[in-house]
Amino acid sequence: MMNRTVIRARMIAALLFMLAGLLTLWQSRGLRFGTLNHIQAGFFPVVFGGLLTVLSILMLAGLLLTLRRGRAADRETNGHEPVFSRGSLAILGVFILFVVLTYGFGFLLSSFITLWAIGYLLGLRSWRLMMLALFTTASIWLIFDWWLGIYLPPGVWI
Amino acid sequence: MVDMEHILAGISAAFSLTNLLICLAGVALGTLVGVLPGLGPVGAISMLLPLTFSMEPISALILISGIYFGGMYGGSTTSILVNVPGEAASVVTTLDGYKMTQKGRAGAALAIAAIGSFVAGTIGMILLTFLAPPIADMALRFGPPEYFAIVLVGLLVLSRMTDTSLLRSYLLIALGVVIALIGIDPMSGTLRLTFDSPWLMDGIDFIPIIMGLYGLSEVLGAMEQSDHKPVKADLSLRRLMPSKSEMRRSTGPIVRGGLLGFVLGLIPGPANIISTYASYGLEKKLSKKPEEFGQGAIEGVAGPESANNGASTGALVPLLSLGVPFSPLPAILLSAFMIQGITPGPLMMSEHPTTFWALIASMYIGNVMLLVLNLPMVGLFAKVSHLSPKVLMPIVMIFCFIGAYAVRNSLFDVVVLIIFGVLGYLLRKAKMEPSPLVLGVILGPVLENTLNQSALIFNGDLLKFFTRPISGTLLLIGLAVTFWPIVRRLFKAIRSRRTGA
Repeated sequence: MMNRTVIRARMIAALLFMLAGLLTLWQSRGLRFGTLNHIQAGFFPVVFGGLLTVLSILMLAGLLLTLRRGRAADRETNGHEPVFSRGSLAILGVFILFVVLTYGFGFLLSSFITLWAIGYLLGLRSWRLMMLALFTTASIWLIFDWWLGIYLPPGVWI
Repeated sequence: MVDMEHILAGISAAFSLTNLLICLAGVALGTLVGVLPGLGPVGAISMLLPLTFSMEPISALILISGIYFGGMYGGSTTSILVNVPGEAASVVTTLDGYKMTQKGRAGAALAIAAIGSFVAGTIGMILLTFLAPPIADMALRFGPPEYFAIVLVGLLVLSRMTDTSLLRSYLLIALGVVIALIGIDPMSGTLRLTFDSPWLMDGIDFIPIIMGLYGLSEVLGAMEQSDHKPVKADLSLRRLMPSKSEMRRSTGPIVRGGLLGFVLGLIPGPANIISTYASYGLEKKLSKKPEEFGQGAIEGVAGPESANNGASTGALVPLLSLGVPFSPLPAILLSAFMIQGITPGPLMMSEHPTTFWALIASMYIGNVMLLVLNLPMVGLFAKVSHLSPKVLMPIVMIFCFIGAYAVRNSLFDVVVLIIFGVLGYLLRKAKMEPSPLVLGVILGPVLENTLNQSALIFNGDLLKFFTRPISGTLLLIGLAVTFWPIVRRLFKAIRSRRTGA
């Protein structure tokens, strides 16, 4: 039996997929559909955008039915599994911080700061946290920039 | 025709000192990331992809295939020692592997897993060596209708294999195809689904998508992971040796598992997972003492571990001979090939013969290295498996960022990585396997191009797909796979109504 976390996650996923399908159909308005003799650029976006929309509506309807049945059958869908929403959102914030910092100050500085931030969020403290941020940044620079010659962005503000 | 000169050139390239060292580094790295807790082989291998970016094509492919096979082996260590499968394909190994650890036979279980992986890998590679060239030769005669049928049937079969719900699998495939359509239409040059944004004009690369779905999503859920408690297992070399009776009992399961895994690997879908369950079921059925299964039966480790490795090799046949990956792991190999400017498939053997045979030769070498490396170093790998997510996840995050950025030197790809990381986390919570989405992204353009070309060839009469033997047969299989569950349900309903009446 599905628990409440799974149902909730599936509902969010279905809504997102429906939005993606509708956006695809909206973006395909100006594209020519063509004929079976000569399929044009709009054929696949319309077919798969439509499919995405219809299937996500079906999934959503199925989930609503399950919820109703669950309520009727003595709340069978009451189970839960741990979701640390705040923690995951904070980690997502660190990811976004990485993009902003890399754009402005370059890869190395942003790596150090984001490694420190994510280590802190995960519970590392004092010298362990500093070692993680410092050694990982240094190793990354050595392996990717110095040894493998991969271009790491220097940042536009420094 | 296979040219002996190219085979020898390939073997000599694989045996060069640099490539031997690269192969060793690949299998060691693969095993290390394979045993890391909470990170599956797809996420782990995609994370290491940037290491190959600046390498020579042969060396890069040898490294990534070493990581591929090492990663597949590594997953079993945590299953046996801590009852935590490193990947979905190692879940079955926990049933008897961990029981053996509790009985003080951890060393023997790990040794049998390593020997089984080696034997199954070798069987698979021999079959791959002999099967891939003739299939590729045959595929040279395939036209767009045959490729369309292969890809469509592959996606249909995959959707039946990955999830209990067809609806969810189709939904993810459709989303994958829609994502693949973003950018310039190759046939007409028209911009599609770009929202007039210059970032989307070149489309979305699939490497940040895979890294996001399988790698970064793990980081997002890092706070939900707990540290594993280490177990005290005697992993000295002396205790690693399985007894004579254990060796005798494992021989049959290893050979059967290897063959079964290879055959299942040819079928689209998560073959390395399915093959482990199939092998476990088969061994339990064949055993004279089925009641021992789940209580520490060595056959329960030998069969599934061999099947897992056989399937990993089998999955390479469609990739190397047809250029079509049918599961996420070969899809990552495909991306490694494409980064090096090599398109796997029927033309690879004529356009890059030395690379092809060097890759095959390095797989044999890597398989031997895995066995030699894994037995004496199992204690070290066991220690690595206790690495805390607090330390591991920040490193995974930064590797994913570098990997996504380095594909096109674009921060936009890091944004794509983050978006798909969030989506991967959501799918995990929704208990939806993301592989149909990945394959939708990779196979979507092939599906569109081959349908367009087939429609032109058939002058719009799509029923002509059924007049060609290969495309017709494949499409009939696809129809049967899709509609059989509906027909079966219908029959069941009629039968129950009759019995009720």
